Amino acid sequence: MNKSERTIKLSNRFWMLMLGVIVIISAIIAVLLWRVPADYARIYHDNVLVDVINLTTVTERREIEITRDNANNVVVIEYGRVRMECANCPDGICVRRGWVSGGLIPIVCLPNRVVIVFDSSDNDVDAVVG
Amino acid sequence: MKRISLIIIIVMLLTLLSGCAERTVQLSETRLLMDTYGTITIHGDIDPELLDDAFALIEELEGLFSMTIEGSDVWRINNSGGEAVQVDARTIELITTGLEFAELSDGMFDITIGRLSRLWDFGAAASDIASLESRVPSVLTIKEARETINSDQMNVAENTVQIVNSDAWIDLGAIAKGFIADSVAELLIDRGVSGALIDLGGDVVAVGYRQDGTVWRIALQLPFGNPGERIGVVEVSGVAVVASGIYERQFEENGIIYHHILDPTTGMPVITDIVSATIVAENALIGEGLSTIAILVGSERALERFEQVQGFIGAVLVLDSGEVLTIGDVELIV
Repeated sequence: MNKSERTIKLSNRFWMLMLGVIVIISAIIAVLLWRVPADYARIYHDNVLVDVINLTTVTERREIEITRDNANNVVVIEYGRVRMECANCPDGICVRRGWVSGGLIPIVCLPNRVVIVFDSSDNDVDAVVG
Repeated sequence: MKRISLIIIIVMLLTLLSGCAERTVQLSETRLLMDTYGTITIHGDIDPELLDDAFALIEELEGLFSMTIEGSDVWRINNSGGEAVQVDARTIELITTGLEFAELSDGMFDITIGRLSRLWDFGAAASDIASLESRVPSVLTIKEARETINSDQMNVAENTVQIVNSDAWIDLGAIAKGFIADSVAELLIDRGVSGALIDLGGDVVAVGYRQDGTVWRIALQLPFGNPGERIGVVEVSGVAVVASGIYERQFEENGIIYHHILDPTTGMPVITDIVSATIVAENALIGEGLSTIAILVGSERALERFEQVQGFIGAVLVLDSGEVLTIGDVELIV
């Protein structure tokens, strides 16, 4: 093997190595950018953000009490899901909704103006009517 | 080899950069408004404050059309003692459309239903109904409220509105959300969005396409099902999808469900063969009016009349038998 052949081989190896490094870096960036976002629940009272919870990192049951104006709601958080445990609203629609893991339909307590919105990445539709 | 590697590197970088660029321009926000919640999603080359402006417009229009906000156009008309009241051009436009819907429905849809809808008060706050023995109004009060309903008693001029019967109240609640959703869509288009989805509690306007260039997918709620349980999906772009159902705002008393779509002839929640009506229309105002009218007049008359209505595209009607009827140009993907 003469010197020029060796140089070509080294050059090829260098570019293969560079390509490998770039592929790995690109893959890491892609994973960071395009990873499936965690499902968050955002709790609002009267359109003011009360709390944001990453449902995928909840390790133990947690209760959030909302007592503002005349509202008295208790939100319970567990891993991957949320429910309105109790509320002093007249219809109890929010409580009857039960556990919710995500989706486009928020948990809403209209009389007490409490809304829990889900940031989900796996919705196959953009809105629900009816 | 060098060239191939360089091309691969450039392609990778471009792919990553194009992905980054697209991700930065989609915004979405949900807020409580008009006794419901609304979500606005926008994408394109957009001003970050556009969502705030859109919600501000909703608040401004609610301030004109609300029956309960003191000083609104509707409040002033209802409290004018029968005098003509000067109002915003948009209130005139909405009332005029409401009167056209009255004609289309042979008076079943009547915006002078205000006294009756206030009497039933399906949006009542806890404090207002806590002391009530029954949420169902008495026969006498229903009769009194029913007697004030007659849209023929309204005089609408270029910038004034008068209800001749000073006891009567107008309620634009059955069509205001549609008008507001359309107004928001116009604002967003004027401000350069590429695509938007305006969802005001069941009134959806789909502007353009989704960020990935595909059509918007709207699910139709299964009546009396769990939230999000669907009868199917419609795929749309550049139209409105609006649904009404007897399972939405309602309460149960002594085993009877009382829903919010009231029959002006009886004063009670209407009973027809439709439990849910979803309308696909050129705009949400037509969609909202027709979805309520469908439930008020039943499937036979809806089938007869809707295809002649300008701006109507299609409808999905769920009957009390469970049967699902489609009218016009709409495909329900099950």
